[in-house]
Amino acid sequence: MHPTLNRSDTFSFLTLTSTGQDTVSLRLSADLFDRASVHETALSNLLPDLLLSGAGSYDRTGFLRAMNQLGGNLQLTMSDGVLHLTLLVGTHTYSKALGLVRTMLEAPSFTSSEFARAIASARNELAEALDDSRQQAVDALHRSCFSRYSRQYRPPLSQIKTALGKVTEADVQALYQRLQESFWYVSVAGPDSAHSTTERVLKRLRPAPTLRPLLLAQDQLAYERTLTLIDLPSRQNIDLAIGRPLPLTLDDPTFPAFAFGSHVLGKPGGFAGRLMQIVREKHGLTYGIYAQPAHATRTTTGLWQLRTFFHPSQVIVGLDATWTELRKLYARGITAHEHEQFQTILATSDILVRDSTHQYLKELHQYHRLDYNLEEQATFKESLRTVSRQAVNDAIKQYLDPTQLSVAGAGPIHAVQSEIDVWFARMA
Amino acid sequence: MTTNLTYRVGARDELPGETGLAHMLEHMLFKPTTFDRKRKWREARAMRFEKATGCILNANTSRDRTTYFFNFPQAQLDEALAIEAERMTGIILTDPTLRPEQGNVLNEYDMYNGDPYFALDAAMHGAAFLAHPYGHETIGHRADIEAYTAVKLERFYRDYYRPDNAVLQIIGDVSLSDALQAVKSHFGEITRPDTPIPRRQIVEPPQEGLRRTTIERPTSINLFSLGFKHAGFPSAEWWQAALLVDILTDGPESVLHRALVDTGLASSVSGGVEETPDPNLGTITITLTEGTSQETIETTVRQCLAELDRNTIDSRRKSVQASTLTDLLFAREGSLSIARLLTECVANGDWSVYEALPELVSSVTTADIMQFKARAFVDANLTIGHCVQTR
Repeated sequence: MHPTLNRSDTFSFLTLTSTGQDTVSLRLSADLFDRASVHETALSNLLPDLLLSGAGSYDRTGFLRAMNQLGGNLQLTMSDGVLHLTLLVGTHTYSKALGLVRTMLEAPSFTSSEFARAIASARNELAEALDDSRQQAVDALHRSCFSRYSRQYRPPLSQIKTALGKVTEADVQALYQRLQESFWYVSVAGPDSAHSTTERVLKRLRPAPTLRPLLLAQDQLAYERTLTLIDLPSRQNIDLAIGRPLPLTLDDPTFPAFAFGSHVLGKPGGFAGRLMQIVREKHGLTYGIYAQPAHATRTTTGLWQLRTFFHPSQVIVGLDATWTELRKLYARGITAHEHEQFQTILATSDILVRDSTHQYLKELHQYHRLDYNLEEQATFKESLRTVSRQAVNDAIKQYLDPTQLSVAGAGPIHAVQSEIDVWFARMA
Repeated sequence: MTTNLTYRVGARDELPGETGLAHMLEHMLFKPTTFDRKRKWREARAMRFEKATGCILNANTSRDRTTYFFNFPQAQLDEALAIEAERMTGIILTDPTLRPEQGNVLNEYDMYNGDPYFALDAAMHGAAFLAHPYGHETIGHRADIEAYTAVKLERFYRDYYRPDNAVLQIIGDVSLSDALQAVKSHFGEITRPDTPIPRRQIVEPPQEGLRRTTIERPTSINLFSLGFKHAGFPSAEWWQAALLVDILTDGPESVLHRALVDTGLASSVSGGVEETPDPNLGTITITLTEGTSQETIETTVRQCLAELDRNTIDSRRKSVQASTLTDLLFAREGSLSIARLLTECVANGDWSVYEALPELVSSVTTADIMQFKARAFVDANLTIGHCVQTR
């Protein structure tokens, strides 16, 4: 299973072949970001729904039925200004399913009736999201870490709901036009026939349009640590997102060292990270606690975030236990044994991702859409594994001072709000 | 490659007052064993395996089975098997080792129970089943979790964790002879207990009319749920139920999405059936939009079901069968995903049905679904639930 990558003026095409494959996965990402505003966020909420709401001679029902009867699973999402398309389908119907995707991308209907429906649906989904304590905490942390003019900023749900009322059909057309003028990153896993079919379609879809320039600059927030608490009395745990802006792009030479250190602390998934071993296994305070850097690209910085949840009666004990581990890591760094151990863990994860062709493609695409070619991907992964212990501990010292961390919490806060306020002030 | 060890024990085997025991025991299988103590190790061999190799490890419990899996580079097969063999007989269950993990399980309980969708589903099952243990959730009741002791867990462990109650899967690049040799070398010394495996065959008494349940929460949403009883997995009727639920709720083409979400009465619809060997409760759950009453939703849903005609079912059947067959194709791609699906077949008593799944899906006809709908959606087979916001 070896990937290949070819690049044209308007798209980059990564393929992964597995013999005897009876399934195909297609992933497409395009950066549509123009400027950060609540209006843009509201608009971004609509585009995926509207692209699936009719194209060519198909109305919405007809298009969905045509795709469903081919067994195609087609998903569209937008995040941080980037449109992501995923198609999972059997090899025997891939060509027809791809034809539907082509029609969708070439000639979406964007009817007025579907526009009105999509606006109403989006409003209703926002109302439903009010109860999502986990997402509310994460969004609040983003507001603490990113400028409102930054693509990673997450406006409050109430503001997005109001902004939906001002989005016009012309706005949607303009956003769609940006899709046509953006560089596309396309990754396909499946038999060779799927690759050649996809490439043919891409070449027809993307002759040589004028590409809009990518916006590389990023507005920086004058960061101050903050505590944000959102009361959701229906929940039984307090969801927490803890973190800070991380002033490192993926290309920064310090990023791999920092990421390695974060892994030792809170490797996502499993029990190997220090936080899971201590806060969960030793103290029995939470079902899950993980940490990682996120939302950085090769040209823009992201944040570092830790996510967990505690029962209100244990939130202070839980935060104390978490901060104890953060302080230990900041003061003493990682041990030689941990350095060796996590080099093995990272190397193994590279092997295990190949257990599934489509999981492997998903990981390859995550790098691909950030504009890594295959050699750069390999180099980056190697750098994550081979950083020196000294470099890791220097990075931790530079960027993981616990006194600089913000805390966002959502859940049954009311009874413990004053305790958390006092605790947070004490941690400065 | 992947190893997956399934014990045929789950929530159904729990007595009142001890609900959630199977799940609690699952957590305890990641604690040190007698073998680890002899080696003077403070943590379990499974945890050391993860840290030493970077393998993926986890477990999960459902109503009928508890399953443990490792995903690792091929060279580690012996280690994975050694761990499973040791924890089949050597788990140490004491109150001091139980306490921290009990805290984690309570935290997990609160995570689930704080979700109104989960809480309503739990209430639905409680209302639907008067006698059968499917009436309680796998996580158990909070008061029962708080009352666990090592003695209760030990009894459960000895009753159900035994070689004649376990099915081992090995999936990956290894010859059959090498795999069997490895299994024999690690498990060969473990003997089958003389005692029978405690099994209770509890037959749910016939339902004599519509059942209702309501929960009240200070949520920002109201929910409506319609539950219907159906036969066990992987019978023909189970597939009829699964496909009908998809026809009704899966995606924007689905009947209830178009009738409720597209018209603004609901913000979302969802549904599902579980893979259990005994008859269970399939559910359809709807999130009401602000200003929509429970009565309006119930009336509209019942109307949709009554008006669901052959043509609509036929058209949607083709869509949902194609989608399900695609899902089955992707479920066979990678050793971990093979293990997941095979586990449900094992838990239902016949692993070999795994090969027949695509045929079972394809063989469901429109007439089958029409007939199932007529049987399933009568009051004496239904449970209706409401989550009502109080703020």
